[in-house]
This record gives sequence, C-alpha cells and structure tokens, in this order.
Amino acid sequence: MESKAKACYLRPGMQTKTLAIVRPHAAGDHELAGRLSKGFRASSQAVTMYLSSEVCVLSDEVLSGTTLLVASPKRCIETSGDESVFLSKVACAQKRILASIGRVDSSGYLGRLQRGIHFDAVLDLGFASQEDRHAEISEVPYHFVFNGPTREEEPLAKEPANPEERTIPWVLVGPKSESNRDLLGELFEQGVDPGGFCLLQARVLSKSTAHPLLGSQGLSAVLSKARFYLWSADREAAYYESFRFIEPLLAGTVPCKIESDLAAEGPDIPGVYASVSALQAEIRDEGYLAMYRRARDFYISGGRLAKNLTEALRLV
Amino acid sequence: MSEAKILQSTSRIESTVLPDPGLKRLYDECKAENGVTIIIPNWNHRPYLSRSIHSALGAIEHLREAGYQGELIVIDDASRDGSQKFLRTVQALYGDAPLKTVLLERNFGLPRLRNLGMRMSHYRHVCMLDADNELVGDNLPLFLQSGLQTGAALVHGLLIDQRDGRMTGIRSDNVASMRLTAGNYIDAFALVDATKLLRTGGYVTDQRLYGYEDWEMILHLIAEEERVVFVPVVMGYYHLAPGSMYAETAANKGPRPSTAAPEVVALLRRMYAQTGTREWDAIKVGRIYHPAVGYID
Repeated sequence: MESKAKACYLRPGMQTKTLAIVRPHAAGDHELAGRLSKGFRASSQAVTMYLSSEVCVLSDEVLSGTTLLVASPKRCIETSGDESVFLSKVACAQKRILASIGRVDSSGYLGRLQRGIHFDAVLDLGFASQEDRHAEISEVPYHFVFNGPTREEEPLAKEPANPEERTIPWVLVGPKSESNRDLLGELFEQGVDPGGFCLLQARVLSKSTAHPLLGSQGLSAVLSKARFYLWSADREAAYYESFRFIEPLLAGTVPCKIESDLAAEGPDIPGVYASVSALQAEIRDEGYLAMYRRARDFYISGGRLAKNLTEALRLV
Repeated sequence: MSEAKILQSTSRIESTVLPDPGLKRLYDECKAENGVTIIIPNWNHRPYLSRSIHSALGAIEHLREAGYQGELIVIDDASRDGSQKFLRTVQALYGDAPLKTVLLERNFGLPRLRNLGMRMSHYRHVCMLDADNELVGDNLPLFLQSGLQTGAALVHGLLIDQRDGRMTGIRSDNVASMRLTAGNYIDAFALVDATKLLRTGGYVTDQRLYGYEDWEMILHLIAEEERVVFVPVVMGYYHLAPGSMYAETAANKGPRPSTAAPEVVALLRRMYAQTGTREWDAIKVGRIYHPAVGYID
C-alpha cells in the first residue's frame, strides 16, 4: 500500500512556491506551529503564518499558489469563524499538508485527517518514524521529519555548565494524572533521592481559564538547577514526545521517559526506561554527565530541523 | 534509632507524668532562627508514634547535616492507650536526643496543643507533624531555607497519601488562592513561623470550628496579608489508616474540609471572604518557591 501511495502522490523534486502555516486562533498546536516556523526560517524557505480566520479572507488566486501546512485542523476549523468558508478556501490551496505531532494511530489523529480537509501529505515531527502505523489507517502520503535542532538552539553545549550547582536531583512537572502520580509513588518506593521538584497541576474543565502554575520561564529556571527531567506515558500506547526532550536538554537537564511499553520496543532514543529502578541503575552506572552527552549527541545526529523540513517538503 | 528498639523498651522504663503542666513555665519567648521545632500532638495514637518520632529525629539529623539545629516536642493530650507510658520510655531511652515530651493530665484538644507547642518551641520555625504522619527528613532543610528566605508565615510542600504502604494520592500540592474560602486544600502538616501565628492569636479554639482550625488559620494568615509559600517538594507522608487522625476527622466532620458543614463554610466565608475587604474571586495569594531557584511563578 505504501509503495502505491508513493507512486500516486509523491513527485520528488517539485518545489513549493509559497508556504503558509495555518494555526487556530486561541488554542491548539501553537508549539508545533512555532517550531515549524523557526525551522523554515532557517531553511531560507519563505513562510507565512496565518490564523485560521485569516485564511477565510485570502483570495483564491493567492491560495492556488500556496501550500498550506495546517496545525491542529479541528481547532482551526472551530476557530475560523466560518467553517464552510474556511474549508472551501483550504480546498483552493495548491496543496494541503497536515503538520502532526503525537501518535498516528490515536483517534485524534484519525479525526484530524478526516475532518473535512483532503490532505495531500502528512509531515510528522518527532524522533521516530511512524510510517508503518500510519499506513494501517490512511493512504495519505506520510513523511517523517526528525525534530532536530533549530538555528536558535545551536551550538549546543558539549557539557552543561556548573553541574555541581544542579542541586535539584529530578523534576516532574505536568498534569495531575494517574500516570504522573504513579511515577511519583514509584520514585519514593524505589528510594530515589527525595529532594526532587514535583509540580502536578490538576486538570481544569475549561482551557480558557486554565493558568499554568509554571510558565516556560519558570520551568527553564528550575531545569537550569536540575539533573534529570522525568515524565511518564499519558496513555497506554508507546510513543516518545520529542517536544518534551528539547527544553530540558537545552537547559542542561537529561530527559528521561519512564514507559515500559516504549522501552520494550527498544527505541534508538536515549533516556527511555522501563521503570524507575532501570533509570536508577543507569544513573548509578553512567552518571549524569555521560547521560547528558548521549542525549545531546542523539539530538544532533538526526540533522537540523531546517534541513529535515526542506527535504520532506521536496518529497510532497 | 530503630523502631524495634523503642518498642522493646516500653515496659522497662517509667517516669512521672507532669502532675501540673504549669504550662506557662514551658513557654520559650525568645525563639532562635537557625533551626526547626517539630511538634507532634498526640491523642491515643500510640501505634503510630514510633513512626512519626523516628521520622522527626531523622529530619533533625538532616537539619544538622545542613548546618541547622532541631528539636522535637511531643505533647500527649491525656491519652488512654498507653501513649504516655510509651513516651516516658522514649524520653528515658533517648535522653541525649533533642526531644521533649509533655504529658498532659487532662484533654486540651488539638488547637490548644498546637498553640502550646508553638509557645514552647525554641525555634521560630515549627513543623506541625500529626502523630500518625511521617516526615521526609531529607527535605526539611529545604523548607526551613524557604521559610527563612521568603519570610513566609506558612510554607507547605507536597504530602503523599499512603494506605497500606501504597501511594493513593497527593495533597497540599496547590498554591494558596482565594479558592481557600470555599474549602481547604492545604493541610496543617506544614512549616509555620510560630511568632507570626501566635501574633495572629494562634489556632482558634472556638468549638464551632473544631476540626477546621487549620483552615481558619490559613484564611486568617491570608487576611493578615502574611505570605503563604508552596515549595514543590515532598514534605511527608499522610497515612490513611483506620483510627488515624484523618479517619477520625472524616468520621466526625465529613471526609474533607471542602465538604464541611454549611454553617462552618458560611462562618468562615463571612469572616474572610467579604466583598470590600477581599474579593471572593480567583486572586492568587500564595507563591511557588524553591531555595535553588527563588520564586518560580
């Protein structure tokens, strides 16, 4: 099925004339849209960012020469102001590409592909290709993009500055979910250094009234004093969230995901552990600095985001 | 100090119950800054005392390693379950330890015990530890540093709920906000500045608020514009067991203060959520702090 899809849809060598990222108005994958924008800026590919409501007022002529990279299509449609106008404008575009992060076999992913927009391709930003999983649920051509360093992030420090000043042994920040609570319990049951930083925020019903306890600046400040950044699986499916890797690494903290299913798959990504005791063993055997270097080398080895995005677009 | 050692010694050592508490002579008005007094009020919780005392003495060791001092005051509220005999044993066995026991002949009630403990404390910062709970001793220096650096009247950290040795939840893990006028979510198991709490009158002993004095106290502190600081680090274990202080409070007063009797909620809101003094809205009054980072929010 995959080879057939490639034969039908992929025209290598074709250059995109104009590229625009479309994102929802109030909420959605802003992080994804922002990262794509940074990536393309460094690639010398001209890119425009549109709110979904702004797409509704673009002329068909402009759109016919534009490739739209849509982040969070469901939210884009909902916040466009006029669903039918938005969908008709998107249909006028030269091409429509779904920008995606997260598991491709989730119900949310399928919903994004089937929510009124006929996509010509999917760009999946992450650390590991999900091509096989995607092929099982959709014939839309799939392109994996390694979520590598942006221009702003380089050069990455070979060694974190002042490791002795990192007095916070670990950081656990996220929603007050059962998985995070269980991870905290496991850390204490296993006798890990109890001085870790733990901030778990209760889920709120309304996203518009949700104020994060810890903003990006606050998290960066904490990470700059910490050694390991931990998180666990939010759902029961094996997946590595590349976006959770980057910020800790840039702050000199080692990203560590505790997820037995993912660990069992033996991913090439460093810092994936079946259990807290497996993490403890690695800390004991290798230590913080060696683990940091391994994470850093992995991030660099996948190539720059700009280059990866350009190559993927060339295949669309 | 091992748990087993305390228990084995129980039947061998006796001492005298204070015939007249003479409470005022126990007061320590001049409080030092460089340490923590851990206060354990006890009433019929003998089965849990060895655990809480063990954790408190361990925490004092950690304070010393970090360059601070510490003391433990256990106040027994006329228990009838052998707690006083047990405490006499502990006191005799560990005479060199920074431990004081006060054995009361008549029952004073929890808020009075906490007030007495704060008056007796040698140190300005006091950790309120229920007899059935357990401190994570390694982290007490972090809480003391936070109290000293912020000047907060109350510093709270995460508490891990445990039942049968397994974690069942987390509490005291949210910053103080005016949501507190609707229900309490910050436990009394926290580090407080005794001089500031005593200056506000200490824990209220009004019978109508019995069981909710910690809720009244935090609202009182906020109304007095005192600082309440959350340090996102685990302070201790909150053990949920039949006969524990939590279970007794839940049995008598409902499972959580947020489900307190309507008259209690009405009384506290009348006292602390009046339009014109403090708006009843979502104003955040607490802050997040960590000694390695400073204010984080």
